[in-house]
Order: sequence, then structure tokens, then C-alpha cells
Amino acid sequence: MSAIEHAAKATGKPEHQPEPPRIPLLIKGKNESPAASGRGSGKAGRGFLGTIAQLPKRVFQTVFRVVPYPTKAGLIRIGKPGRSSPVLVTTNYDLTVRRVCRALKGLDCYLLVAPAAGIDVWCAATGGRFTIDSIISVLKTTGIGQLVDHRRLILPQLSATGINIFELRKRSRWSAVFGPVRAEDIPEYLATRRRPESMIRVTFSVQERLEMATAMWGSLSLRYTLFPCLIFGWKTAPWFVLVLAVLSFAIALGCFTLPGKTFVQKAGFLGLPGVMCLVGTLLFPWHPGMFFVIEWTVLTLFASFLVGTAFPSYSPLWACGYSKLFYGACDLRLAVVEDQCIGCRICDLVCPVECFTLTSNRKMIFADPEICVGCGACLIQCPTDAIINEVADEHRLETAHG
Amino acid sequence: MCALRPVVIEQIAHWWKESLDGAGQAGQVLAPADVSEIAARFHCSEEEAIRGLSVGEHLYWGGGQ
Repeated sequence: MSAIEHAAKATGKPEHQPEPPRIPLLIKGKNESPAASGRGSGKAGRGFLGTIAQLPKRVFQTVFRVVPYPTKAGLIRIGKPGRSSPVLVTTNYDLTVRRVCRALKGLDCYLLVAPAAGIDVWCAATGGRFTIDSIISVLKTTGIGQLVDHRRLILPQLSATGINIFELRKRSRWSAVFGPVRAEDIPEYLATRRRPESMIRVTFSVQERLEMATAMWGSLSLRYTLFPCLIFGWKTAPWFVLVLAVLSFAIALGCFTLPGKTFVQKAGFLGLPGVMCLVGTLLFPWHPGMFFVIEWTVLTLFASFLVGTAFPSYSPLWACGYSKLFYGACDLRLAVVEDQCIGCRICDLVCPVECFTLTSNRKMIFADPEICVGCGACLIQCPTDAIINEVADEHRLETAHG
Repeated sequence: MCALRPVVIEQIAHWWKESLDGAGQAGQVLAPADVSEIAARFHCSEEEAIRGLSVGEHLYWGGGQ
């Protein structure tokens, strides 16, 4: 029996609707709205006192966003999902889950929260925390296969850096497609099955840059204030935190105008006053304020190094190595083997920055290597292995020739 | 792993996408495809069948504008 014939028999809603099985990891009660379980829009059952109670958590998640904040992995029912309702997947980062639930309000679907060490989708997928194993784990523990007739998962697009959809299908028998980058676009995507450019590419608004700067300032202050204090004493702490704040916000807002190709170079430019102080100290070592100058030199240089290296770590640049981080030289130099390309555009549809272009003969070309962030999503997802990394090939040749 | 044949993957992808289109227009829900059945139908490996089906799903569900 062909798939089509088989499909004709398995269409529509089945005549006999079996009772939903018990779900061991059901986060929310049956047909419970996201808000009622303390997730999602947060309107019902909480009120003013609930909002106040949630405030410390929200402040913590804004200021210390880079600190993993896991929530329980499992299944969330949104609205009143049926047997053909879509099944979406996200990671168990509390902030992400809340935002996705809020975006899905009014829809009927399932949301699988996969274990990923409480990290957001892009970082977890790139860093190897959100994997096929995570998805298989949540598929099995929630028993979602017994609740729906189809076998299709909608993954967040930014998980493409770590989850190979072919391997996922092979191991789990569930097919997967990539949805939009942002949770807010999911309702439109589900309604139209189309992802325009605005749903595929990653951009950051001013508000998001400010959020990022706040998060960076908070996490860097938390992790590194101790070090200057050990050298210069505790009174240095507020000054170091202040320098971190100034540098974080300056880079977040001035990333397009500051000189330099990478964030490290831009932060280095902002740290120039520290270098000048260092030169001044070397030229006038007998100056009475020398200790003060040395202190500020160390603070400024240390803070600019931290901010410069930490900012790109919010994206998968770390996966590219230090040459990308410091000099902007990407370890990936991609090329498309024309004979193997079938023009399916998956590479373009998982690319967060639009590196690829479809030619008139329906072949993809790696058109804009300058803007490539080196996430490697296209390499992983190409169904015909038509995308190659020339840097890796050169390295292999060098190794072979000894 | 044997070499992947792009032509076969493309054929399966378009076939599956058209199947999904047809089922969608008829208001039906396609049952999950049997990989070995499709591999036999297209005389290809299961790896190629899986990739073709995944591309077909993507053409149907994850397409651009």
C-alpha cells in the first residue's frame, strides 16, 4: 500500500476518539490555559499580587539572562489541541517557554519543552545542549505520539545549528520542519505555512540590544567583579561594575558606528583610554597618582576585554573559534557544489543572515560570505551534502601532505 | 554510507510535497510515510528516502514566501 493510499484511509478525524492516555510529564492540566499554570500571558489567576510575586524572577532573568534558568521539561497543552494539532518544540529555558506560551495564546497546539540545561534555543543547539537526544527524550516521556495522528514536529529555526532533521527522522520516526525565528511569528506561520524573510533572519531591535546590554552587564558583574577586588580592594567593586555598564551599553548601542570589525575590536577601541593611562604610567612612574592610574588602566582594559569577548558569545560565534572572535576571520568558508545542489533552499531557510542566493538555473550559491556568522546550520541541514567547508578541505589536504 | 543521489532526493521531495498539497486541499491528514516503502518505490536507499521526505516536508511546511 502506497503512502498516498495509506493516507487516504488515515485522513481526517478518526471515528473513534480514544481517551487521551495519562501523560507522566504533562506540565499543565488537561485543556488548561497557559496562563492558569503560571505560564504564558499571565493574566488569569494572578492579578496584581501575582505580578508583584513574579517581579523578582523577571528582574533576575533580565539582568542575569546568561545564567541558565531551567524549567520543567515536558508537554504543555495550549488551548484545546486535537489529534491533528501542531506539535512545537522549544528548550526548557524558563524565559523562552514563557514567551512561546504567550505567543501561542489563542491557538490549539502542543508545546514540547525539551531538556536543554535551561539554556535558550540558539545557544543550547549550538553548544550541544539541545540535541536529537533531548527531543527523543521528551517525545518518549510525554507520550505525545499517542495524542496526535501525525508525526511532524515544528522546531525553532535557530535549533538548525544542532539538530539534523534527517537524523532526527531516522532515530525517532518523527519528521521535523523549522518554524520562524521568533515565537511571535508562530501563529502567522501556522496559518499560512509560509516564512517570509522577516521570520527567517535574525535582527535585533534597539530594545533587544538594551536588554542584551543589561544581561551582559549583570552576568559579567556577577562573575568577574571579584578579580579586581582581590587586587585593589573592595572599594573598586562599584567602579568596575560602572565601567562594565558603560562599555556594555556603548557597544550594544554603537555596534554599527564604532570602528572595528568584531566586537573585540570595538571593545578595544573603547578601552583605548585604558591603554593611554598605561602609557602615561610608564612615562611618568614617579607621578603621585600612579597607583590610581594603574587601577583604572587595569579596570578599563579588563572590562573592555570581557565585554568584547562576551558579546559575541550570545550568538554561535564561539563555535567558529578565536580567529572569528578576535579578527573576524571565519573558520567556515562555504561553497556549494553545483552538481549536487537540488535548489531546495533549505540552506537559505535556516540561514539567520541571508548568505545564500538562488540562481536562475535553480542552484544555490554562497553569495555573501562577509555576513556569514559561521553557525553551520546550512552545512548540517543540506540534504544532498552539497555545501562544503573549504577551510576544512584545505586543512585535510595540509594534513595529508604532511 | 553510500553516495547520495541528488536527483532521487529531489524526486522524492517533490512527490511528497505534491502528496501533502493534495491531501491538504482535500482536507485530509497524511499518515506518516513508511520510509522502506518509499525506498522500494523509488529504488533508493532509506537514507535517500528520509532526506527526500524531509525536503518534501520542508517545501510544504517550511517554505519561504
